[in-house]
Amino acid sequence: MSMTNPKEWAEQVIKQEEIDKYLINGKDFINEETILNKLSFNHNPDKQRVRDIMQKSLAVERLEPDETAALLNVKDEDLWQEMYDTAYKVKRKVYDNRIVFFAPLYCSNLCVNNCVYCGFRKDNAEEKRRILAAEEIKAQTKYVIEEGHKRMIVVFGEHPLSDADYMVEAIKAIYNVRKKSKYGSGYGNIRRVNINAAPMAIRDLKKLWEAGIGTYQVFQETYHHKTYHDLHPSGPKSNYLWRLYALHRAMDAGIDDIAIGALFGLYDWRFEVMGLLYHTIDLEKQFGIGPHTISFPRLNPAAGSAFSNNSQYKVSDDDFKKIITVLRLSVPYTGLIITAREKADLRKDVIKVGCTQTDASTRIGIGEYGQEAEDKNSQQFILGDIRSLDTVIREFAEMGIITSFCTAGYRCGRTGDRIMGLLKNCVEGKFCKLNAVLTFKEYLNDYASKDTRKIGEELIMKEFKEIKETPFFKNHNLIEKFEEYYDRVSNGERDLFL
Amino acid sequence: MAKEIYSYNNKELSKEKLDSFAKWIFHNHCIKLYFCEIKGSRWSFYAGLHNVIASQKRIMITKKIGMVAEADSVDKKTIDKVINIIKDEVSKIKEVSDVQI
Ligand code: SF4
Repeated sequence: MSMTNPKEWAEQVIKQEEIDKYLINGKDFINEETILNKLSFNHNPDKQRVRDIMQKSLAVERLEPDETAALLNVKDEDLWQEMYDTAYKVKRKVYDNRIVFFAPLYCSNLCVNNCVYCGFRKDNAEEKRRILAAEEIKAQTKYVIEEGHKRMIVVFGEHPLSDADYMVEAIKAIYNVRKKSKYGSGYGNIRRVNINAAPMAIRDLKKLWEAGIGTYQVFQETYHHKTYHDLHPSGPKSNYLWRLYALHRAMDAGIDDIAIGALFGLYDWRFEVMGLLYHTIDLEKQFGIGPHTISFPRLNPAAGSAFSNNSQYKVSDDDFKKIITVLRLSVPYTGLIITAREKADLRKDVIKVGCTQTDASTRIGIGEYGQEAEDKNSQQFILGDIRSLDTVIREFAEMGIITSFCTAGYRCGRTGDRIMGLLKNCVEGKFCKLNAVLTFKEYLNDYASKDTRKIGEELIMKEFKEIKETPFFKNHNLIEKFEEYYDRVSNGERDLFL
Repeated sequence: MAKEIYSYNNKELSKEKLDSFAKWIFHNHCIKLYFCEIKGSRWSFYAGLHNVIASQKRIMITKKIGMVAEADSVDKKTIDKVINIIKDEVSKIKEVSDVQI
């Protein structure tokens, strides 16, 4: 049973022993001196060295910190262009031409923390507080399903009323919703529920694991200790180490799909990229598996937060593209998420350097799906792109990018170290191609507008041709099975996957 | 107490057993397979062969453990036989290592 006094509740969140067990020689894995030394030691790298590093990325090997530091120090714009092209090649090699869509659902904006850049922070009196009841979560889920989504990330503020038990109820409520599709006689449902929530103790994380969580996502926000302390003045989030080891605890609780991220704009972006790399390395060292995805949201204006408008570390569009490129090259086998925080044109441009997941039809106000207008006072930040899923899918299809609603990996054991192995060997991308076509076909039949269906069908024909010509599919006798599934999906069967 | 396919203390033992069992099935019945623990709609790899490419059959053995096999060309009789062996073997693992199934 939860304590409902937020202050008392917040005081008992942190379990020191669940931090200490991960420290090595009493130290965390972010050694600022080392990071700064590597950034300065690898300044002005010569072209050949950068090209050699790119070859390593193309071989789907994770880079070492010195190598990433070298890439971050490239000044020559022509060399950056080579890096953009290589990042694109790496993405095609590991993930092919697909993009996975998801929808965020903000369940609550109650929060015991006081992050100075966030509209949900405790002391922001402008914020209208709200938490969704199970029935409201179901109603919101119906709106999301009506757009055609199959995957959600559910977001919670840190508060006793939105504790792990509440999250478990939310997960169950979402998985239970079924809604008739827009066209045809099928139904839609959410097949994978991911969670973005505050760091928890292992005992609470096990509850999420038992409930069938997809990915557990926690962003460190900034890896720079002092900046972290300045920006997170109170509440459990003021403890840097509790947050830094949130995903280590998740691993210990059995959750093997975890997601890291940093909020770019709080501190120097090159430092943050290094922080994300060291986070990946420490997870690989301690558990044999790195993160399933990396996110790199940029600080956006938030109602009631002067800091969000004035930070000296704000990241320009050009640097943002560089961040994504270096991440793609540094951790070639990990998914990269770009969100609707970014404006449509920028998203269209940077998606090419390596993003694998994105959102659309996004609403981030509490209970805002199904409503037209955005109320900026009930949002954590302000969105850059609120176009419909159909519009974004059509735009991507015109670029030759196929949308995937595949959730097969999570439902047939391709998770954790197994999916990492398949990604490193470029096998998972192949499955995704088949499952992307099957789920895209479902979407086109059940939800797409006439124009999207037309361009989508053309893209599927191209995919078919490629599949038939790819030796991997022939060698594993997959073509016949795939064709059978495709026919069955075309005739109305749903949720078939390989 | 909630049912689990393993208790955290003896996780290793049941993993090893299922690993060698998957190898045995492959040698004797030419079916490549692995085992998953089922948590809600999540099936998480637990033990078995790592070189299963196409997950063509997904069979629930108990509420908490599932099997994923690359066995599309294998006839139904063999599949049924293997499932029965697995169920039998899984129950033995329970006896030997006190794994809860
Ligand atoms: S960033 Fe998260 S933890 Fe911080 S105030 Fe906002 S909702 Fe709360």
